[in-house]
Amino acid sequence: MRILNSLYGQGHGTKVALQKGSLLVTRRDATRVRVPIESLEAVVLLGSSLLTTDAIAACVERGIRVTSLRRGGRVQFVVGGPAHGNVHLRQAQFGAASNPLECAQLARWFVAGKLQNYRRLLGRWRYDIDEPGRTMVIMEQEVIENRLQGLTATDDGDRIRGIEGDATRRYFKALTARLDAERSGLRFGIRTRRPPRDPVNALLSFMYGLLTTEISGALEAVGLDLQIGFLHGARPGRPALALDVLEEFRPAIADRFALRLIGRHQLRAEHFVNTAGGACYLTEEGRSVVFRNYDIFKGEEVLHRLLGRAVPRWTLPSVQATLLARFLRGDLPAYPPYVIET
Amino acid sequence: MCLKASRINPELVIQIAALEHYAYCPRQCALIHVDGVWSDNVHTVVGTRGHVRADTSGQRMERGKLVVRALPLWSEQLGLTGRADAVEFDAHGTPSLVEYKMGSRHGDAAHLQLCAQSLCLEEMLGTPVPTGYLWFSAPRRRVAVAMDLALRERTESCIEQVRSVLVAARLPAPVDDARCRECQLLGHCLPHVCARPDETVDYLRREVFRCGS
Repeated sequence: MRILNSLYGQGHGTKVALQKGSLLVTRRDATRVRVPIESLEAVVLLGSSLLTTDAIAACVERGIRVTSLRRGGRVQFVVGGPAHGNVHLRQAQFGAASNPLECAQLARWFVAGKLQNYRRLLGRWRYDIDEPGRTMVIMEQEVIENRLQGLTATDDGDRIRGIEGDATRRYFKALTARLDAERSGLRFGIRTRRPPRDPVNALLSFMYGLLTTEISGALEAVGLDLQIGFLHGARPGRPALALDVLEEFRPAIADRFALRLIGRHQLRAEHFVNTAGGACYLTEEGRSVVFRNYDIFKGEEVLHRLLGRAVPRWTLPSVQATLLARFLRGDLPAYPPYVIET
Repeated sequence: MCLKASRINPELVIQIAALEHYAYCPRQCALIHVDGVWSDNVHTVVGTRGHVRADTSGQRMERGKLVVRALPLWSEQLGLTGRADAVEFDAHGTPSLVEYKMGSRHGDAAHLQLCAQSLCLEEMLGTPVPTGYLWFSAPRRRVAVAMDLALRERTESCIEQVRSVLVAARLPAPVDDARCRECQLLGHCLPHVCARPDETVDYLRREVFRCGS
């Protein structure tokens, strides 16, 4: 199983160099960390951290994805080697993407995975929230179940997107109640993005961005084309397929992780900064808290019900990318999205 | 050197290594050579690390024999391309191939690979290559392999089978047996999932679209 193990470099003066087949990370405060390059799948850079040419070459040679992120979590650049991968798989992907019926089929599976995970999360939250929030969460869970059932009967792409949008709105309403119950002091009104306008939205946006790069790396590693999606249409610069696969992982990984950080008071108001005009971002210290804990979170094993065994969370994007490839190449009768344990 | 016109469409030239992959598992061969999938496991990393010496090209005299390492090999007749770990020329100028294998003997896939290399060398040099050697790192011993008619025929038929798989560009069904545990492509092939399509359908019904408690 491919392991999605990422090295995060951030902070002015942080330098990543190649030394004797390992990546040596040095910081201004003279901390030095050595990471064996064989153990890595991705290097993620933030801000003005530095990566030497030798280190880039060694990463590219081994198929390690080097990504630089903006502070909101969006991808600034990706370093890659010459075009590689699986032309037959890509042809199958293009074939499916140009067939509206196949597109709708895949879109339905992606959305079903997301809604099922919404449903399962809401099923847990009801025990954490006091009235009147609890009644609302139970009600929204029932509506999401109805939407999920509505998915089985439709092969109309627009209708699937409509169901997805409605279920997402209801989920975020329940998330507001869930966050109120935390009494963490972090604001969350409604979901806002581009830019996020409160700390919780800033954290969610950052996590979705981070997860998108991980999913992108996993998709590229199996030879799929990032930009040709099934649920998300083609737009210049949009990693549509990564966004498709992201849907099931938003609740399963990003939201759960965000809730954990907030619930444990590991992220507090001082880890966020507001710009003039009201946009909100994580500070460098805040991002460090995120990375440190995200590593622990990703290392935890969860049950993958289709594989029938426990896997560390960081392998999940690779597993799902491989399952998607196996469906497109005709080995599987359907794409099975990842669902969390109940 | 053989300057005969090419008999095989250059598009369909196959890697000699593909024979060994095919002999191990036809689906592994197709995943590597059709789908361009590769990942390392402990066996392949040990193999690569152990090949450092064999991969340094060059030639020199060793114990009275001229030894050429990392020699490119090809056959226009059979449509093969690859590389020899080492070719030894004895005092009479008779060449023989040495293929380095990490660990100890396993199966006879290496025989096919060695024979294909020898067929290439015969075509390239125009001289017979009657014997080849497999060198195993665990016992640090070499085993002589006679390039007899039976092995040659088996090798040629294997080449044709590999070519038909690669031309079709379809993936053979997964085997899902004891081989899979040691296979470096286990995580790409997913044999236990792909061999049971009903379970995926069942998973969608039971887990993904499940509602109520």
